[in-house]
Amino acid sequence: MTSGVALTRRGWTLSGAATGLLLAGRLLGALELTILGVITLSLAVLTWLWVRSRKRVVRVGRTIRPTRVHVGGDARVDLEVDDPGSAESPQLLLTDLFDGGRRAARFLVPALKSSQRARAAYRVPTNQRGRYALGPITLTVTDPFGLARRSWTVGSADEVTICPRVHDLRPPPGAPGRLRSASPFAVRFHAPAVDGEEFLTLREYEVGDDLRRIHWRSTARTGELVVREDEAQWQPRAIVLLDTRPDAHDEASFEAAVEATASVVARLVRSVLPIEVITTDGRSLGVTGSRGRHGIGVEALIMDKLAVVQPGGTNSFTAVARPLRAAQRRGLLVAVMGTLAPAEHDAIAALGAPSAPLVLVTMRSAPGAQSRASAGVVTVDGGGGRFAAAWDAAMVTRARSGARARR
Amino acid sequence: MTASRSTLYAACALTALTIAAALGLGRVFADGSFALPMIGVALLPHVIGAVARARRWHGAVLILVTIVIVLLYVAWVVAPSSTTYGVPGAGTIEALAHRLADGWHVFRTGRSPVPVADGVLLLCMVLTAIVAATADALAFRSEATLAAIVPSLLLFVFASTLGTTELRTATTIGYSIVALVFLMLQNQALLERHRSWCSGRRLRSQATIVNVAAWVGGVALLTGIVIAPALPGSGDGPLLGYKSFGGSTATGPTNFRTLSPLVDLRARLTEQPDVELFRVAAPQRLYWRIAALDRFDGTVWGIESQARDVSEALRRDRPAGTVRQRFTITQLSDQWLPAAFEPKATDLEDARVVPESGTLVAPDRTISGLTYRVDSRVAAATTAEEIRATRAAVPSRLQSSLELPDSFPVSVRRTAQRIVAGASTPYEQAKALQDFFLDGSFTYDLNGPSGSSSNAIVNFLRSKRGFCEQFAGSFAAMARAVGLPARVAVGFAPGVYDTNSGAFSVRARDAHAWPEVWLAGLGWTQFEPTPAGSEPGQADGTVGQPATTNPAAATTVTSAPTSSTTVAGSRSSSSLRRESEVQAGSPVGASTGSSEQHWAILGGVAALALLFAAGWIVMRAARKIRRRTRRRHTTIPAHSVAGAWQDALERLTDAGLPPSRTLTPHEQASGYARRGAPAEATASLQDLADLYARAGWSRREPTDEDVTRAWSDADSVRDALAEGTNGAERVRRALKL
Repeated sequence: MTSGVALTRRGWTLSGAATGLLLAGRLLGALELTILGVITLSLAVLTWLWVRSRKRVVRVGRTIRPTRVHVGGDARVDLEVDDPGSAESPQLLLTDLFDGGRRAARFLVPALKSSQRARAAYRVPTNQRGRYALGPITLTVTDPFGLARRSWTVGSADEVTICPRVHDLRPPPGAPGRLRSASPFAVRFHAPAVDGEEFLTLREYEVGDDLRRIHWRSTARTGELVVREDEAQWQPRAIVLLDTRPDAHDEASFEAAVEATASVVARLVRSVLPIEVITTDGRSLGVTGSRGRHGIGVEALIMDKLAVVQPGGTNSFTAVARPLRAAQRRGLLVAVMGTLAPAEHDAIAALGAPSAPLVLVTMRSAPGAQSRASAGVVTVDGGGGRFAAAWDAAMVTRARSGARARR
Repeated sequence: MTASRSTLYAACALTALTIAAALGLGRVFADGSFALPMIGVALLPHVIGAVARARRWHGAVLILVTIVIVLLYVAWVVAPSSTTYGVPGAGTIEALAHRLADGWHVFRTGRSPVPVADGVLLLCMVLTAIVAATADALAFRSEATLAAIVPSLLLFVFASTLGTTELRTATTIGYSIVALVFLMLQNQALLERHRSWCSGRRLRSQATIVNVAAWVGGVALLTGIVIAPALPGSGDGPLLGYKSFGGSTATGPTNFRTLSPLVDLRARLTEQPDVELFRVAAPQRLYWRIAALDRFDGTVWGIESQARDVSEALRRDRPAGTVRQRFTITQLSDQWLPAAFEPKATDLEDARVVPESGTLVAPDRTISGLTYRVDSRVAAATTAEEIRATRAAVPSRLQSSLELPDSFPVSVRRTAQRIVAGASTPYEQAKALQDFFLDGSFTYDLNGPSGSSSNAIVNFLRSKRGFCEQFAGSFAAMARAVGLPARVAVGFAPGVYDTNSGAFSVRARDAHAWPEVWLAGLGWTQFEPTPAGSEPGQADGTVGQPATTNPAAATTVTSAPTSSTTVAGSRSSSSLRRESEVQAGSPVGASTGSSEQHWAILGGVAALALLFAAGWIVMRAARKIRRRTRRRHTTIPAHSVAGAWQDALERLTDAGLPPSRTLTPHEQASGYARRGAPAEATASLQDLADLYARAGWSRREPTDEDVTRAWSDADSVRDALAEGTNGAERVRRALKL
């Protein structure tokens, strides 16, 4: 907690005016002006002294609900000021900074007696994804004339994460259309695990887990019971690729790409499809377990990362192609790309196969590029804010053409 | 307490502050009848301001409504007879202008306390209305708390520098208390306007604030009352001689600039005329002079001379051949010391004297109770030789006593020249002028218009009604017009001789003014153009005439009327013709003499209003330029990009295309394309909207290139809008607020 006592701008102006009045009083021989000058000057001094003698007697608590919200959602910060001591607190000015002071919530706290409390709340602006700092809170006491002030910085800084907006999408090819309950207490489906089988990830042991699934090596290393999260051989898995090449995007298309990625992730998690989100610069933004186990928690982690992801890494397409080829072997691939040259477009489209479907989402059409039909490739032109509609239309078309092919 | 209610409280406090300052003018006025009209005019602009805020009027509408309502109000209060069932007509403006001119005259020359006359009241009401409107706008439109106190403070200072010293501490404390209350309420109102309340008991907040404010403010007030008078130099006179001369202890010449004692002459004559002002024991009846006014600027007679210590300029012992007077001042509340002309010795210790005019000035503001002795050399009888000798040239040191303003009416000059046409010596010329006023055609009238300005002289010569101020002032000005050095003396007629005490008792009704003419060989010589009589301000005719005890001189003097008879004869034969001649001589000066001055005053007021308006516009334009410069030169890239966006929108607004508040930047930009903005402007605006949206929402700080691009976009918007506009349109846009 830091504090500082200072005259306000009004206080300094008044002190200057007092000097002027004293001078004018002497020059014009007017006692009235001298009296006014002395009153003004002593007012500045007295208010400074009064403010200096103030002590901070209140506590401030901050609650953010929820701490994670999608763009356009509602998040609310509740502030509670209480006076735990026996002294009465004066009227205070409370300022809670948002995003390092780019915005601020300003309140007037009425005078509080011992054990009284005052509450205030404000909405967090959720127009733009990102992780935003809240606080610290500044408490300021000023004299009744606003000439002097003393400020205290109190409370801790908190964070609120604004995740990208999520659109409700039709399921991609190869993903089950049924919805899984969004509750973390959803019934889990256990597939028998075969010893020596590849597993996707490790997690902490929970009551009810099969003891045979305990991964002893990791348990020995960490000292905690760790179970392996298997991946069933028969289950398709999905890779979502986000194009983060700086030159492939402008500001709007990158935001749209992140939004599209988030929507696809949410769709796949609901489809109980294990997924991994990677970027063109080789970063992994998270992996969900088999058949959606811990999907909710991991989804939140992925969303957190999507909230702050920025363009970066290489601009070269070859660097992009490598993870794509690796991903292609593992099942469904959704590539959310920025600008693609025709050759690049063709190169990606060539990765598609009937067994491993590919959805190519372009957020920014390069001149001359046109979607070419090829087996197992669904092309979605998501530029211009039409992503959700374009996705759904593409999925419907794909489903019809699939049905025709079967007939 | 809601924000609007706290603003209402602050507005009430500000109204009280204006009223307090307006009531401070009580020290300028002689009685309290000014208070009600002043309270009314102090209230009006604040009430109109509150209505304007509630109805969200435009600033121009507010100004217009305020002017109209205040004008109506002052017309009803000051010139109700000029209105038709309360509706002001063309005559109202002239009536107001007339009274404003009177008020201005009194303020320039009067000494407080002045009687509550329409003119002075009107002037104070106009001032108060301006103060109230300015303070209201500053407090609630600009939210400038301290600046809102300044207008009423100026009014308060105005009252305290012009007013009497009566109740100075009480009025200051009253004003300070109201100012503190306003400061507290306005501070709270602004806090509540810009912040939301937390839940809780706000009443307790108010009680705490008032408590603390009362303590802190009370101690500050007490400190002011106790410490201010004890400060070194606080009891001394002003360092700037704005209404009197420098400290009495100063030695050597002091610049002497003062309000003319001529001005309150009528007030002295009409208010309590029978109050005894002083007694003087003297062997003969003389005019007891207090000052000689030797500067005429076309409006008023005044003094501007060097004052010296009496010890330097006058002797202490009695010179031979002087007349000794012993003065006992009873109720004279001025600094002027009566003495017969020309004082040569005195027993006064620390008084000062203006040597050229023999004007004695006391060191203190009031001389009541003072007793002193003066020995004066009184003009002896004039001989025929002396009268002939007055033909000698006027020495250069007296050139200033010949000065008339350039605007001095030609008609008056011609009249003067015609009057003295037959006189051969300066003495006879002066005598001819005196006889012109004494030929019976002029009537002594205390109720005529006051003043001795050029226009007052024209009016006086036309109406032939006036009192000693006009007689003396016109005589002196006309004497100057024919080349006689002249000045106006102010003082008292001899008074009533009291045989018991052996002294003359001089009362307020004896106040008088007469001209003095410098004649070669004779020096400054008194003349008496005011007809003798028994009314206040009239002498009984026994003194004041040039002394002519010498039979030869008497012959000459009695022959003077002969020469002037010719003039008088021609005048009396056709006084109507003379009027027409006056008019012919100066059509403007004579036919519209009085309204010319009124229009000049009106013009002055209009010029002042224009000046205010111009100052306001210049201030707003300067603020606009400063705002634009700041935007461009901010060091934070995101702010700079936002500044470029604001700049572009502001320029579009100036060009008549205000932005819509509900649109996003991109929508805004594409909206302008449809609204007929130039194509280049829209293209740049699209790019700028993009940069602005990114700067506002991206986690990445804008780069230097972004900032440069944003400003080049903003500049191209500006250039595209400026294309094809003419100079007048550009000025209009630059001044658009």
